[in-house]
Amino acid sequence: MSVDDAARVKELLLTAPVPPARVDLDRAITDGRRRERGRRLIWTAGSATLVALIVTGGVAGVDQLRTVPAGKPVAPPASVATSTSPSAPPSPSASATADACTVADLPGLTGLMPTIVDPTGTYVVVDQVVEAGDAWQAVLVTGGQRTTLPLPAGTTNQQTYGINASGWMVGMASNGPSDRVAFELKNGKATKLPKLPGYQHSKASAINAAGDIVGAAWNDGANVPVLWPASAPGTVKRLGSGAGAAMAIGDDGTIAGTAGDGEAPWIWDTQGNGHALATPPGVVQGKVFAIRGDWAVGWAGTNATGDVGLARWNLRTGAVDTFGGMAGPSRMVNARGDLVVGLSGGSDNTVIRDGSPLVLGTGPYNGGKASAIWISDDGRTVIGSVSSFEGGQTAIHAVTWRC
Amino acid sequence: MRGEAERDYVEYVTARLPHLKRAAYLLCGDSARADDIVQATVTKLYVHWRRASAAENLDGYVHRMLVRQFLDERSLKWSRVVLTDAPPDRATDPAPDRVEDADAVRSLLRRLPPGQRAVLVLRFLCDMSIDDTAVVLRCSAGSVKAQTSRGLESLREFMGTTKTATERG
Repeated sequence: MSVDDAARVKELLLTAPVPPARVDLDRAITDGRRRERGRRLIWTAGSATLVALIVTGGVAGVDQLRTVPAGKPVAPPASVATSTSPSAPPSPSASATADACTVADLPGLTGLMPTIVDPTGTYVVVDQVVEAGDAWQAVLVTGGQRTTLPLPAGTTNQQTYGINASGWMVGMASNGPSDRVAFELKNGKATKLPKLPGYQHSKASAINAAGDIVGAAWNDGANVPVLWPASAPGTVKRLGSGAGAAMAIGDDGTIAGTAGDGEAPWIWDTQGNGHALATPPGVVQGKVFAIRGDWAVGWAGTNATGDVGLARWNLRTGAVDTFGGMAGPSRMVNARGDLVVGLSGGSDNTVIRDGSPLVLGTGPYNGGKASAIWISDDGRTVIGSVSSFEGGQTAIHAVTWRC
Repeated sequence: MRGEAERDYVEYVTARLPHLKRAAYLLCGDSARADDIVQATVTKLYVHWRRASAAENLDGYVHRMLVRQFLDERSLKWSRVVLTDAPPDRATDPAPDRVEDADAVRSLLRRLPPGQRAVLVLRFLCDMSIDDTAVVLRCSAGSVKAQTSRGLESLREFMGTTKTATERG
């Protein structure tokens, strides 16, 4: 290892953006005092049972399916059109409506955090790779059954990015850092997708109902957007002539993503004809991450300053909505335009339904943190996870909210 | 603990929270879990403050507590899975931009076995020596060296692309 290497690793670790700490110092002191008392008691009584009582004190782990009343959707502030002046972001603590969500454990996912879900909610993928010998593989859960996903031949690592209603998945597999290849996983078989001639690496980001797949190809420098059309299996084509990446494809073939790397939110047809999507006043940069029906979501803002606002585009009207300047991005939208806002700047995930944030309760996992990743097309079902602190440890519970 | 000692504790923890969060976050790759690790660490630190504050290197002492907390959690069944809140679109993109750098670094770190990840964070973020790192990870100095070398190999590729992105931007 060279001195230069060490300096660069250090710089990387010191400068990587990290969400702000959410640590409760008052609680640490209260708990610390209690433990101090506990230590004194133990010292006096010499009893090990006190340790369990005092130190553990948490909730027992729970695996079983359960349903209890949980979060409530809350009232507006509703979505704000881009032309209006910035207003306060929607507040999750706004007044509640009469509706309530219930939360239930998602069978087959004990301890796992779901990452992508197909449009029907049938297939749930856990992209947090599981170590299996030397390989790292993703996990699929459907009907409560867990399956470790196969790797394409000759690869040792995979990341799954997209899934359609048939359960066909796409992503990127790798065999060491110098070989990354887009793959599709269909009917239990993982296959590498053809590489764009002249490009060493590729990844597939999304797949639509027909099986059209989009993604990006690259060498050392910039991405170029690509399409693997379902109508011509075994072929790949570049979209347009500029740099960029295709991140999403609708069932009607509308492709969305970015020009450059966040230079502008972009849209293409399957022939590769593209144009920028509208951006809010004073802003030109952005990226689309997801598309469904008439809706696309992502971020719009200024990449260099990290000012990345939530953006939702209506593909029919071309209008962009910034939800009053709420922090973005969003990485999932349903057919009604309801969306899930990502973990930006350390904030929790938020679901926006009918233009208003939906507060997701944590049900039996009292004091846990709710994190949504998906909302159904009818806006009634949300999938995600709750992380809770139980018995001195963090536990992850994959859950469904019905609202 | 009361009075002046408690004020010292609050002052120290308040100042070091961002750094502790950074270390925990880079170790585990999940913001909520990192907060839990830090919360548990500073709670223990409260209990042991008298001894800790007398240590020659308080930061080093606290780093060791933090890493022990992280490693203890790994005994849980679910921790065989590498948790992350990384969104599913940025895994190892070739040119991470500033906004999504966090995802890229985290995504890269999470691919390292926990031992390699811990070694890199301890040695290069927490400035621990090889010997101190070996003690806290309960392994040999040789193993720390080997894990450092393997971890760096994986990171090297990433650092190259980061440089490219910076030069472009």
